[in-house]
Amino acid sequence: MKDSRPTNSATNSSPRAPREISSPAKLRELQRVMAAALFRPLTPHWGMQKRWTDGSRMGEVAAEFIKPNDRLSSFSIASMTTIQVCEQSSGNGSS
Amino acid sequence: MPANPHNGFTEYGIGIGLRVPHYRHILAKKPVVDWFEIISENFMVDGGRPLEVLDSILEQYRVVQHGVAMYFGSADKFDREHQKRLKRLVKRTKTPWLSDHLCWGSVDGRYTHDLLPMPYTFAVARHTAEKIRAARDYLEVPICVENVSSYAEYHASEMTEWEFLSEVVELADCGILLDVNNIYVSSKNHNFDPYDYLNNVPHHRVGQIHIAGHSKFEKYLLDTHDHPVLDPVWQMYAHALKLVGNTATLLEWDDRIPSFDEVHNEGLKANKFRDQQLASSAA
Repeated sequence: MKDSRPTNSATNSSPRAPREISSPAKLRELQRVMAAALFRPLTPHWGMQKRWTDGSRMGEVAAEFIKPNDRLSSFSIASMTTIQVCEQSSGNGSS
Repeated sequence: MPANPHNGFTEYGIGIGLRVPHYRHILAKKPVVDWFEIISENFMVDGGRPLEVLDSILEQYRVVQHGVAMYFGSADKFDREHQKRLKRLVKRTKTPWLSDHLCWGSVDGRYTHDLLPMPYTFAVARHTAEKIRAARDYLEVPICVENVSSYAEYHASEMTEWEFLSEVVELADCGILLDVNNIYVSSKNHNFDPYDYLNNVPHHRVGQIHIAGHSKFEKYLLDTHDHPVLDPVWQMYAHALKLVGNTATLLEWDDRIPSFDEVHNEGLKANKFRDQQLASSAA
């Protein structure tokens, strides 16, 4: 079935991840979604915001493209990555 | 084979990272170090103290460049200005090979300054390999791509990480910087056997090895480069040497950096495993 979700242009403020990464264009869509999530401001308690830009639950959005494991949910994994990116950007991380 | 086209046919031994807290010691005491690894982006400047120090180091030591911002796996094209600066540095250091990570970290010109994991698909492997080839052709130096530690996997992936790495390097005809600690960290985070990874990459393409310490949290490991190398990683290193020979090895210690001697001595522990490998291959 054709994916009816909107493609992720640079101006789409509520991007969603493609289901398959079968081309560089699809790769760019995935990277736009992740970057949009990673660059959002953290909550005052240094956590990832629980709602996506379109009001959806962030857990559902993350679960569309990040695999959970037996210890961490997709949301937790996304959250951890967001905090790491924040620390790297502020010069607190290593390469 | 330790000396191969992907490390410029060199047989470097154990190196450590050139780090700011150690500059004074190195320049004053001139310790015996087989080689230093520099982070390219720290020296891609027009002048000033970083280049003064680098030129002094280059007078006495061998230097290999390691980058953190090529983002072979980004959908974006290369930043042309970054490439030009990198090429100038490559000519300055005469690095026998150049390494950077199999990752992405930027999109639409915005940079995360992190090394983010890839979706492991054939289309992505082809795209990434094309970028590596283009980089090598422009920079005119052998390239080794490093496996990153990963904390996220994607539903869209079509293969394992080591299958993806193998696919990329074969398509790109490039080398591998085999980061043994990253394999260990990823194996714990994603529940796979790290020896499956080690056993199933193209060993003839390994131009360099990284070893490092990491941190353990309740539900995951983090590649922090701020501890000594742990025993399971040393064991994996020993196994890697059986597969690839005594290839150039770099100890990474990038945070909470102790004295030069402590870092160097940690790196030199690799000699025990290299000596064992030499003995067994001579037998």
